[in-house]
Amino acid sequence: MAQIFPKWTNNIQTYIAAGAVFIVVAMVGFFWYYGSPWYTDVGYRPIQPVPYSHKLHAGDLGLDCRYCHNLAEKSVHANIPPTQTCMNCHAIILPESEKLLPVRESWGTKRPIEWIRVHKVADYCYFNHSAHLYAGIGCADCHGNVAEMETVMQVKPLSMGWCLECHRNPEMHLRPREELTNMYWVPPDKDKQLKFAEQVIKEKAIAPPQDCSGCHR
Amino acid sequence: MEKKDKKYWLSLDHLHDTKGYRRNLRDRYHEENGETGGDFTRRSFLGIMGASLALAGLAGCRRPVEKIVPYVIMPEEVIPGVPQYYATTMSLGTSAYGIIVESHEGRPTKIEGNPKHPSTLGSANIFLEAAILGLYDPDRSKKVKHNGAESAYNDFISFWREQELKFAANKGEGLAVISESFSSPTLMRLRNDFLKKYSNASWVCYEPISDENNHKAVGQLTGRPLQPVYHYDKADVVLSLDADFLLTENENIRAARGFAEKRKPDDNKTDMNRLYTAESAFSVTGSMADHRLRISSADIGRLAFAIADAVRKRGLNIPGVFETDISDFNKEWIEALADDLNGAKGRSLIIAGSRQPIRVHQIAMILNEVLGNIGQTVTYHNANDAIAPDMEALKSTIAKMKSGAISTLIILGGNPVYNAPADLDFASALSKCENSVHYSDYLDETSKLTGWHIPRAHFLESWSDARALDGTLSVIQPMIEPLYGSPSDTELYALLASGRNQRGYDIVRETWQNVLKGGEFEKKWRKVLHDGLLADSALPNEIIKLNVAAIESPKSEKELSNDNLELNFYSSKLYDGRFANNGWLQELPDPINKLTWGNAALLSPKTATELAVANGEIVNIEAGSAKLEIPVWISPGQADYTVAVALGYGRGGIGAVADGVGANAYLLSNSNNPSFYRGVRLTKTGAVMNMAGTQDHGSMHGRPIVREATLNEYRSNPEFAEEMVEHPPLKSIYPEHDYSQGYQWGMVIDLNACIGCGACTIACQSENNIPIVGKLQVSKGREMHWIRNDRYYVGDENDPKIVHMPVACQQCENAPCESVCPVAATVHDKEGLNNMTYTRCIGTRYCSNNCPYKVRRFNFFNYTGKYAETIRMAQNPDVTVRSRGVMEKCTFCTQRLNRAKIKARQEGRTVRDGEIQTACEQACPTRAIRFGNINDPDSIVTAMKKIDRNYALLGEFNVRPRNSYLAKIRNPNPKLGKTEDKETG
Amino acid sequence: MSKGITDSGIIPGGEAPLIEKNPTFGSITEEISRITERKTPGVWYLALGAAVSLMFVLFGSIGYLVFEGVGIWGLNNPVGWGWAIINFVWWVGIGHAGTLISAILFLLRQRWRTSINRFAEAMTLFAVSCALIFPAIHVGRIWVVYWMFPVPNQMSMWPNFRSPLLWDVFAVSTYFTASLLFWYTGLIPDLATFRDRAKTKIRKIVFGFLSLGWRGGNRQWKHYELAYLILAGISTPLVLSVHSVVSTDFAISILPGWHTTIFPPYFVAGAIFSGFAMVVTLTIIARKLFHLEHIITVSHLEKMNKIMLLTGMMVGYAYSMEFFIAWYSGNIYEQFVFINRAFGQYAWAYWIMISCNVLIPQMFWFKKLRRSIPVMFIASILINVGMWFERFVIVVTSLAQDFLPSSWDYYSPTIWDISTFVGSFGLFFTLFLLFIRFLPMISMSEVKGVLPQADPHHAGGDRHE
Repeated sequence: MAQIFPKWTNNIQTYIAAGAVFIVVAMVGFFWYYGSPWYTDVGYRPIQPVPYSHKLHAGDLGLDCRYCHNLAEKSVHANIPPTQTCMNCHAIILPESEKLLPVRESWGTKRPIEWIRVHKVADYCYFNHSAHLYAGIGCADCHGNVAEMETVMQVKPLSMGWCLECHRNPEMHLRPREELTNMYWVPPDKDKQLKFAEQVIKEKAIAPPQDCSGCHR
Repeated sequence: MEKKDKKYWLSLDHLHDTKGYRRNLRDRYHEENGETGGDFTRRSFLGIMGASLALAGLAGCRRPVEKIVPYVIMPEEVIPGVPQYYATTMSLGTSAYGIIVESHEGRPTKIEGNPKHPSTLGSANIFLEAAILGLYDPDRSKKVKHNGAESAYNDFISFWREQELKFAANKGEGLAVISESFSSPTLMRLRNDFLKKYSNASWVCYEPISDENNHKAVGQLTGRPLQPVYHYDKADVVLSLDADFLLTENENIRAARGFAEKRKPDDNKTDMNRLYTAESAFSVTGSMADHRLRISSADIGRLAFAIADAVRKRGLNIPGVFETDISDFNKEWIEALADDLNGAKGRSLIIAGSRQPIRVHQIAMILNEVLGNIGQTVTYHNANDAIAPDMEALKSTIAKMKSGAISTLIILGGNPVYNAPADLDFASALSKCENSVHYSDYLDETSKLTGWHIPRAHFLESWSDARALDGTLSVIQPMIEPLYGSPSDTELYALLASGRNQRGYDIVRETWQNVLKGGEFEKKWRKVLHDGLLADSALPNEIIKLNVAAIESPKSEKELSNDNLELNFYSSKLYDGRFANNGWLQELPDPINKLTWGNAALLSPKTATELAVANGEIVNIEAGSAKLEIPVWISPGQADYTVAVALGYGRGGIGAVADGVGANAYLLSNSNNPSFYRGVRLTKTGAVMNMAGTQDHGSMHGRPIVREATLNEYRSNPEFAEEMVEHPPLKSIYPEHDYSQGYQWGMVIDLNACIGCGACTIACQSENNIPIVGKLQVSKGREMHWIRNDRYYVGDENDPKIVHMPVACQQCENAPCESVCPVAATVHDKEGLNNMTYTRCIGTRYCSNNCPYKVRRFNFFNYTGKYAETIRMAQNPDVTVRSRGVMEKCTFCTQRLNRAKIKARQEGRTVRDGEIQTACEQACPTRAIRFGNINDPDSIVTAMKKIDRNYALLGEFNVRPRNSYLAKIRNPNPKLGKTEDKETG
Repeated sequence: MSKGITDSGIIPGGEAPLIEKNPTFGSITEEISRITERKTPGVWYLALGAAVSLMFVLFGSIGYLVFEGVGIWGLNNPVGWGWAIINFVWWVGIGHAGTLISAILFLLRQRWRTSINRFAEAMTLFAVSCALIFPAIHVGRIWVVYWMFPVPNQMSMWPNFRSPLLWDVFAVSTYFTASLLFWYTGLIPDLATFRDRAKTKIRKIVFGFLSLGWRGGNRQWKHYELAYLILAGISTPLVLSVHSVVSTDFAISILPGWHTTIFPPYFVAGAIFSGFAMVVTLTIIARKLFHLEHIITVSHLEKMNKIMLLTGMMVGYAYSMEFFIAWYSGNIYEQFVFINRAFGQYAWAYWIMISCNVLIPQMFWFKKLRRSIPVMFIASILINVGMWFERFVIVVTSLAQDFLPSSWDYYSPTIWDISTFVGSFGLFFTLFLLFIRFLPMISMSEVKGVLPQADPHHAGGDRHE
């Protein structure tokens, strides 16, 4: 009687085995990548209603971050500046500029500018800017080098795993107060930095929470 | 297969009833709305509360786009993300409660007591805490209505201008005003202006729950309009004649605090006070009593005379009291009481309840006089700026209305069509008035019948002022612009008085120009606004002289029986019904009978057995021609043959929450004796109603749950509480954690101070965004309260004692819930707290099963998903709003802990003791709840945990709760024989 | 096969032969294969129709559950686990007989198992599949139930390995996998037989594929029997472990009535008890329908009844022991719970449990009843009713009334609890009907092994396979 199965089916076990292995690897890989802190919104760069350039203001002009985000050290939020803040300068500087039209509109109509949020931690994470700045975590640690971004982009994962890395050993991230807004700060050589960190941690009683209650309420 | 044990306390729903009985109910419910139909009704009820959440913007490629909207011009002092606190005042009748309001970006979210204010002392009661929800109630009236059609406030103004012209001529002939009672310089000024302008107009004040009788008694005995103020913190022996001064009487917060101050048994020098109460229905005050006399309300008059007589027999001159027939009273009780009172001259206090007739108030006053209490434990102050309710005036006004003599009737607040005594038939009288105006929060029963309806601004939206009972002046300032642009009391009063449409701010300042005399007005004014009150503005004690005419002692009325019951009305957690649309209050279990979402005819077990009615059976209360269908609820401790019904229920068409909940007791009310009367019958209807009680089982089954002793037992054996349980040494198989470093949070609850009022529950609900779930869900045992108040009956079925026990998450160091959660959603933190991480929770409910205290609460449905926008505004932004399928529980207000810790660190210090108060601790009027760092040897909580009475609930299971309790102590009169206090059920 | 002489065929002691009507190898093959080869009987379609529609009741209920939330069940605050967990434990329990019969009895050389093991193993798999549904759907947020598995995630979080629920996940899935392999291995020779008998192309292909090129050569048999032995060895501890682990869901927690050390053995005994009951129920139907009375003989059933009698008394002992310990512990909470079980608001459930699980099996002391088909049929069903109520009593009574009377409440199911449970039978029977229609419901190769002629010393006995 005729063969039902072609010859290649003799080593079908091998194919199946190989297939199985592949599937397993694929699944693990899938979770490994998409589940990891590295797969996040990194690279999110929305177009803002006003073509505001951080590179120009924070970089070339060297404005301090806290000129606009003036409550970062006082509050939970690093506030988006009110239109007023823009107009402080732009009433005089480039009062006619096309790009600034939305700002002048908002100033005229008293209707706020609707910026698009770039850096976002989930609503159930209670991140506090003032606490981090007080401890000596610089803007750039979470926001990247904004001074070189035309439009701001998310460069850090902002995932729980990522947060924990720093909460577990903050030493290499702690800065002296005057360096907070410095976009180019790198810790001096390790021992110096560790010594510095040790002393800061002591006098400021810094204890980054690793408990759920630290961020989730 | 039935539970044979008939002892009532296995369950007030006898267990074996429960099954069959509940099955009927469930069947009924299926018929009505299918198995989950109930849930749909709940949904629709939340649905009415608003639309579901819409994400800002469309879904972006990687995530939904979110907008950030900054200010255009940054307001001064506002720091986004940092809450602000402002002082203001909430007035209720003639009481004024100073409060502090927490507000986020100009959005009030939480009400707390103002520590500087004499009538709140930093604490609160359920009405204050729940007021915030009232502000955001989506059912509030938003539009002016004229003859049912939408109109505008300006139309009303022009209407009133016409009226002015008319009444200017005849000095207000045919013009009448019915207002709520108030105690406010500004409102009083405007009222006087009004009456000056329209001298022929009448202005009467009506409140269904009023202390009119008390004022009348004082007036008759002293000839002056004086306001009594009771000082419980000075009284060693307190006799309450039907006065629930801890919960429902005026300025109950101050009263409760003072009472608790006098009830500290731990210091052997000072003695604990002793409380005698006589009442028909079990009240919170009765539950705290050392000796409670079950007695029908009508007999309390005779009891008062009997007591006075006994006191007189002890050589005190009491004029004009005659012998009275007291054969049916417990002589022993009266004699012992008289001895106590006599032995505590100047340190005792007799108080008559506002439900009692004038005569009883007079006797109480006379007793206080002869016992030398006046000026000591009770003081009298000029009632400036206060207008008290007056039933007689109301009657005559209504008579005039019926005769057509009143062409224009203006009703300022209140809801007379709903809550005026039924026999006055206000509605028909109203129809006789040519023009009628009603100014109210809701488009309610009255508004629907008046020509004009003016929506009322919430007090958190208004400028006004108020006087506390002792005369302390405080300002009411708005926390937020009126959400619906409604006029405030002051603005409307001003319009009526002057015809001018002024701003509340100007009106109040005008009044205060005369209050803050002597220059620097702005400075003083700003200080008043900041403090919330004018310091030292309390009025001095008035020295009074009683001119006592002979007082006729009441004759004993026809004896009570099954077909001659006494009907009692009492003020509920909805007050007189004005809070009926407040979901928090509707879902708050009654402190005594633990019912939510509805009222009932309360009967004593004996009466219920004789009438053969069971819990939930709907009966007809027949009082003459009037009838009321209402379910029965058996309430141990109720006086036999008396029926008690809570006021404020049975609303129709005012709001999604209030409508159709409970029965309207006002239909039976009677202007001649508004609080209680006899000659009532109950007839069965055969129908049964599903009652949403939160506690089926009233007994402790002999378990050492609430540990209790008499003062003497405590003195002789201070360790009794700990000794009530024997257990092997407590060892854990897990390695011990080190909790010796840093902050270690803990809590102590003093069961001797807890009065079971429920303020903690509402405060927690407000602080932690706890949803309400509706009647059906509660009846299924799914209420969400993080801190519940357990009520246990102790002793005899018909005349038990009551103990209260607030139970929240005990924050066990060896938490049973933690080890069983498969996803580590609930774990411990290094400050000893049991964290609950909602976002990690997958909802296996294993933690709740394994919690010996059953304090965890599960979101069986998406209770929060359909909140109205306004309700969202009431949410605390610092607390996650939980959605369907996650477990939640008390967190010790971790958001407050974190805020304080961050603040402290930035100021280079550690958190001070008392700097952090949990919401429940803050609200507690008696300071029964104390929270703090148990690692700090000097903290209050540490000190309290050192007290001998301290014990851990279920501590024998080595769960190591961070909460502990101070055992309850009662102080019975040794002369009254041994009490059953030691029994725990 | 060394002891085969005594075991197989005529057993000393005058016991009846394992297989009656002394069939030949051929006739066995014929009878069993024919069932799947002949035209599908209409009654089968009817049965399948019924089962499938029931199965859709299950899926419907689950759909609604996902849509609305677990609130549609009768759960409340004290009682966080209701029918879902009861059903889970019950189905897992039933899933014990199969592997026990195939693995343990195999190792114990209980050769009478051959007629029923295939059947029982299939039943096991289907029961466990039903069981696995419930822990998955009983959670509040079904869409994140995968957090129970240790997969990498942005939170850098592990599951909590201290939680018995997590142990369940592993225990039950391991058990399912092992049973599946075991069952399939056992099938291979028979599948080959089917392949060889196959007429239609599809059957040729399908069975050809499934039989993995089985030729029945000596070396294959050698490897095969070794593999089978090893799998039996692996499965045996699992039979004991699964329900022990399931029992820790309760034993680990602190609730009175749950927190006891006898749970593991007591649960295992109960599981075997209910498992055998289910096998008996199904076997009686199958052997009648397909005229296999001579292969699955009354003495087979009798043997199972004996096991039920034994395990029935084990659980009975456990029940009484619980009471003794409760009294002996002097723990007022324990004492209350047990008094309350027997006389409290759920006494009815308790007494159903006692009468079904303890009293009914006592009938099997009598040979007459033990061998009476109708009696054992009814008994076996009642026993599973009883075992369901055992889980009900354990889960509900302890939760409904635990430590603080203030939080006590009464639990009763809603229509959705019931539909989900009933629906799970739909799934069970659907799978089962498909099984008996398309696969050899009795292990031909193994039955042949116990025929007299399989004995090498049997007159004219040369091994046919």
